[in-house]
Amino acid sequence: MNSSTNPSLVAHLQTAFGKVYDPEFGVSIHDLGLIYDIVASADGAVFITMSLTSRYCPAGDVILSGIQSAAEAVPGVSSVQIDLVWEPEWTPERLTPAARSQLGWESTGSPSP
Amino acid sequence: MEAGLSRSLAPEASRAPGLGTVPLVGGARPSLVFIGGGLIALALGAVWLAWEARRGWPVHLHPRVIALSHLWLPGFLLSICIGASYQLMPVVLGTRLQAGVASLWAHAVLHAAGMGALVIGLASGNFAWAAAGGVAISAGVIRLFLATLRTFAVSSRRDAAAWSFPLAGAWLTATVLAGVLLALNRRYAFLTLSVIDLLRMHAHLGLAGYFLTLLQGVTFQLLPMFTLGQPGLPRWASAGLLASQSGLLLLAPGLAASGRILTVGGALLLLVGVAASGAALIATLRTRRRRVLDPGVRAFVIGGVAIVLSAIGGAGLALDVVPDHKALPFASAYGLLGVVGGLSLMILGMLCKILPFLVWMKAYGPRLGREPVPMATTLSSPLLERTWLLVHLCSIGLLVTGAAGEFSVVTAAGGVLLAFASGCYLLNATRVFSHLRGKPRVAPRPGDLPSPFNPQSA
Repeated sequence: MNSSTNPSLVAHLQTAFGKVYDPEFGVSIHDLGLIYDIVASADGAVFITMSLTSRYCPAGDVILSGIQSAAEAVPGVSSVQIDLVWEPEWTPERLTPAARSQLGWESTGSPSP
Repeated sequence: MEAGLSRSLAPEASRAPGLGTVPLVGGARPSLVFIGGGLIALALGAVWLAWEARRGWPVHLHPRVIALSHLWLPGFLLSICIGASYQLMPVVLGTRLQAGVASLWAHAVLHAAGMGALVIGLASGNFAWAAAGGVAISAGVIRLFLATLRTFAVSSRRDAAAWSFPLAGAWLTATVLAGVLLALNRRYAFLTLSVIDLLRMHAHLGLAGYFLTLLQGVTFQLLPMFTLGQPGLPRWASAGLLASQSGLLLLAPGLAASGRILTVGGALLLLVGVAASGAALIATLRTRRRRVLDPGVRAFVIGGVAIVLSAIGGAGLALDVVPDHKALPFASAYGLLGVVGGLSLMILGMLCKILPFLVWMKAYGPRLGREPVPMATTLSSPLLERTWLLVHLCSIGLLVTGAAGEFSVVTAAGGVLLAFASGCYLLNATRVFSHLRGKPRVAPRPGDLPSPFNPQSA
């Protein structure tokens, strides 16, 4: 993921998305693994492919809007387009090690009840 | 894709046309009003409970007991469930609510006015008022039921979570209409069946028909959502719902007509349904990625255990395993365990999660990505939540022991503790609601995505 003609802008976007938190889990959208792909052109046009933890996520609108706002605030971004996709389906396997640790779920396996 | 742009989308990534997100209904305002009304009823109910406990409990089926139970059930628990349902139903069914926001406000007005008349009428023995209140509540419930049916019809989801909405709506409609008939019967005496039996049927239609049915479905949406898990044993969840619905179809006429075979069959099927749903709940919990359970989820799970125990008690009562002279106190303990232990804990537990989320969505959602905002989980006080849960659990122990053993002092102590627990809960809820004050709206920008907060772009 994240191939682009403007890798430094992609890096800045990833940093920005690391500060947008899911309201319920307190984990950043980046660490939740919701961002599938970021493409940035030389002229600052940004294309983001992302998903949500569930098709029925009640915070979906707000999270999409938050990602859009965070991307627009990054210097050098001229336009933002978000593609919300459901395939591949998001699974907890996409959580980063930091998110797993934060949620008390180690990467080696599922928790005991 | 623009020319000259290097893009490497994951090859399997594909857009799903027509599948978007479901926005908040009416900006969550009607839901929050219902929930706020329910919490006001909880506050009044807690004060009333402490007062009754101080002066000694009146006899079973005393008008004040009936009025207090209606303040607690349709006033407190039902108001919260209606508010949550209006928000949750489109989320679960994956489609927009098939009702206008004006219809939700009309329901809120009917429900509030109806509850006032119902409780005052029952407490004062004025059954004309009680019937008028019941009619207003019924008119609102029928609006909710029709909106539920229309939303369910356009949805393609057909699992236990989805089915629980129309099924619970049907039982709720039957409950409120039966309540109106009972109130009218006090004035015109036209029913030939035993009023006590009809009251039992009315109570079970509401408690098991509405609340339990709803919980047997939405549990498998909410629990995975709040614990980052997945629905476990979905066939068991469906079987549990099916068994409880079959049980209710036997239990309702069995209770109304004192039919022992129907009542026993219905109670046993309900027990099987509750047990199957409980197994699915445990399986769901085992999939969770969020390891530590916060007080809300813990209360929800403990409430589930209380529901199972209550269903065992109900089956025991139906099977006449309790000596006749102990039947009435045992029935009181069964009711307290089911309502205060099971339903109240489950509903208040989930509200610990839903209320901060809805308030956060209104107060901070529009600012996400634009400025640092707190997380929904930080709007509550963990200390108040833990205190509430601990004291509530103690109160259940005292109330059930006191009722079963006919120890009035123990029951009174349980009532006082329950009032204290409710106070802790309300204090925490007030703290959450306070985040709605004084937050200037974020002006929408031309490039904003469609959002409930900037409807002109939707």
